[in-house]
Amino acid sequence: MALANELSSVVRASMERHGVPGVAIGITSPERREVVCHGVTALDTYFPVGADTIFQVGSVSKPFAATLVMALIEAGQLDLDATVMSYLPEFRLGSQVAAQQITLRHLLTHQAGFWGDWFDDFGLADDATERFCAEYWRLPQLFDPGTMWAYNNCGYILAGHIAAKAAGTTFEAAIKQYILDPLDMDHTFLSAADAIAYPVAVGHTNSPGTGAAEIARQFLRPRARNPAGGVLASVEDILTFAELHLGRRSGVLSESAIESMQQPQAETYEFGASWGLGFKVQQADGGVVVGHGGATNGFRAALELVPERGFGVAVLTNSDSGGRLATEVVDWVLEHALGIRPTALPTVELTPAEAEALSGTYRHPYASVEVAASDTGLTGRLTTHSPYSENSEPQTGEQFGLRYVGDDRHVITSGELEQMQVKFWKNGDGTVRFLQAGGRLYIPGDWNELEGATTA
Amino acid sequence: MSDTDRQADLRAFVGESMERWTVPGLTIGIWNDGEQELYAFGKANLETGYEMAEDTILQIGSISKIFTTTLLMTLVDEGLIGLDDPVSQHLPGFQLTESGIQDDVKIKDLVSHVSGVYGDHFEDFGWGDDALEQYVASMSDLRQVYAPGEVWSYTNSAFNLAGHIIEKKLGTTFEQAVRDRIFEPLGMERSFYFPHEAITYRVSVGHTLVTPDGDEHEVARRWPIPRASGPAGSISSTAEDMLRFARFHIGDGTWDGKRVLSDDSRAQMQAELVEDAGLADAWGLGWQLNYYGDVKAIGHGGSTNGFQAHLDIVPSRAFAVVVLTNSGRGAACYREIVKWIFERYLGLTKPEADTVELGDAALVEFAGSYSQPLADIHVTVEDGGLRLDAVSKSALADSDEDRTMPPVHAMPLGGDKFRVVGGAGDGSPVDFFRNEDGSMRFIRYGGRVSDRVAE
Repeated sequence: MALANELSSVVRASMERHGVPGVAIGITSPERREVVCHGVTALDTYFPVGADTIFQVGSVSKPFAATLVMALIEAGQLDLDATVMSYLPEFRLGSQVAAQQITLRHLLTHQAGFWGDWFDDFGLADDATERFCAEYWRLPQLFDPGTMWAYNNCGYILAGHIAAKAAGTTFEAAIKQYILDPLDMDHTFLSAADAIAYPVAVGHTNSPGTGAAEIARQFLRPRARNPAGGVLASVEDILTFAELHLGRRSGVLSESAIESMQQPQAETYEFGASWGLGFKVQQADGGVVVGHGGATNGFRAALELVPERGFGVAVLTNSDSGGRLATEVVDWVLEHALGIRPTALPTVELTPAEAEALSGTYRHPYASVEVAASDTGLTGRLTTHSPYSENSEPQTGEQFGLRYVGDDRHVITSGELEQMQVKFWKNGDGTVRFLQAGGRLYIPGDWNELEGATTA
Repeated sequence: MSDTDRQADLRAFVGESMERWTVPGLTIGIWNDGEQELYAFGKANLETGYEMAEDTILQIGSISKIFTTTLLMTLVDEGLIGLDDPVSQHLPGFQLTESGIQDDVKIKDLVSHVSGVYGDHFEDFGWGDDALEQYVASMSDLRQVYAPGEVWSYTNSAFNLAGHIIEKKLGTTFEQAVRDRIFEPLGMERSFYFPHEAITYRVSVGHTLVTPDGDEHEVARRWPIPRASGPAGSISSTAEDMLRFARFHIGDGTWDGKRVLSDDSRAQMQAELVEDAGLADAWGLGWQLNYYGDVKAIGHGGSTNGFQAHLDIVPSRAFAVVVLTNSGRGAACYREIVKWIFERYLGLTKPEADTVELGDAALVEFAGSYSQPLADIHVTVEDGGLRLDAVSKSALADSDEDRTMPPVHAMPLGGDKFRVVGGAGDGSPVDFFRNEDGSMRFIRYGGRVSDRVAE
């Protein structure tokens, strides 16, 4: 088919531009399924990527966790609007008031409001997730449950734990029982131990100095993270999962459950973007796109669906720079197959006084953003110092420009983070409460003064 | 570099042997005269067609037991554990087997297969750091098969017990202790206990026979060994790393000038401890011992779900050979290869004991049914020897279905000893043990004793 041939040259050019070693792309529509694979599984074996090659899909795992929760709701085991404490009476957060209010729906829509990027290692045992969730008293509360949206990995881990408990087994066994087995997804796993007997893609990071691709030897491990990002799957299996959510696969969820997952339930800080149950829902130029991205050490992935057209596209890459490839490929496919384009954002003038008022340093535990007023508007610079990264030294990125697009929203205009949206949330008095970027909230003040943060 | 004639002959021989046994792939490492030779043959995966490479990682199975034993000896060197200490001294309150033999079993019994504890216990206690601890607790329910020291019978479970005693002593996990005390000092950078550590490298899958009496191999899907059986056999490694380990045991207990193990302990491991062992001429601490006339070879085999491997060392000649195969029938192949290499590189051949004639009246004493939890063996008299029909199951295989094995023919060697003749198990010992009244008590085949049972 012409689309596939043309797509191949688009993919190859993007791989070269971004230094991505291997890519598997799948497209499903009511008429057909197509898979296009390029490159190699690893830059030392040079084994070719194929439709059966297993990739880490990172946070594309979250729609799996949400699907499991929905299946258990349909089985009468869970209730979306029941509180977490009704399932886990011993549940604790930094804010005990919040702990009593948070529901499963808050967790699946990223509206719980507690700090969601705590990832300490609780090993590989069956009870890893349970022991992990018992430590949430460490997590400070950023906003009252249900009042805002902020990306929350810990929320998904908690939802996964509650689902596993309701299913009476481990999270991994529940995913297999409720999703993988009914759909015959036999190339999807939640551990290296199960995946190792299959052809597996190896991740690649970019050398801090030269940008050259290097093999990422640290493979996914801590088991507690599985509901937020532990799925390993072939592109064929991800297409099967897509077809479930396009209504073409039966035996897992009812039509109404599938539809409810794709309904906007929480507005995000990005233009036209809201969250359903497990999926991002994006109003684009020409249609609504429902999907999720994924990022783990050395891997980037994306799954995007256009349910009204019965269309889905999945992009799996084995490189940290695969995110830009995934965006380029998805944009190209949606435009060429369906005529859907990203919504163009306006340019709005920002006065020097407004720019000055936004200047400052905004922080969360593993990163800070320095915002400064300049002749041309605002500039920013991101410094990260993740305790979970192989590199413990703080990494300061290039300074980037910000273009104001209205409604306290800005778009990054240069560098690695180009096209990322940034929003300043204001207090009643006009001062900045949060800077939001990459889904995370940064605060202008001291993190330790947040509610429940003293012990974190 | 072009092959020597010997290397070319080796390649030809290995090719024929692999074809004979339909082994998908293997690697070989030879350490000879201070020179290393590495070879890769066939495929690492029959489904994908990935080629085997010299640095492909394969499971070494029970060769891991020598790592456990070496680690144990580092603790003996430090005075933390004594080889003659009873198990109860290091695990107070622990009951070993349903008979409670913790005071009677010594630490050295655990690593020389004479404890009497039922051995093929592979219960899976998950991937948590407490897996070995839970496993050891479950050993209180195991059967004591014979009195400590009475018989030699291959005992996986005892190595897991030793591993747990070590980790408890050191206050770290067992795997971390091996990394800290063996892998890292010896520069073994491609040797791992966990799938998530190995998975980013070139890794082979295992292959098993579709039917026990056929020739077709298929990919074995159950790759990992339960963490609780790590000390008994869950290392995966390369031929090159295994040669490092072999060279260390040829040496004086140091590596790169640093002391890893006392020379006494290294030598003690190789000294004969058990005279009558079911898989070799004799047994030391961890090591099996085989005698080529006056020349002693030490070694160990490994067999997991779809992998079989063997390491053989002749310390007096500073020679080592390791063969790592990705086949459940790889042993048939490595036996031929190691035999060929010993002949051609060292001029060593192993004299086989002569078979003797035994009348049917004498043979019929051995006939009957024998049983252990993973096998039922039926012995009948046939063609001047014995025919063994075994139905077995593997605790580690993809399926736990019974597998009816092809019949095996064993010829008498005198006394109560026999040797398998022909087939994949050619040369394997079959031994019988009697009760005091002369009636049959055990058959020992495949290294394990099975009880005589009523028909």
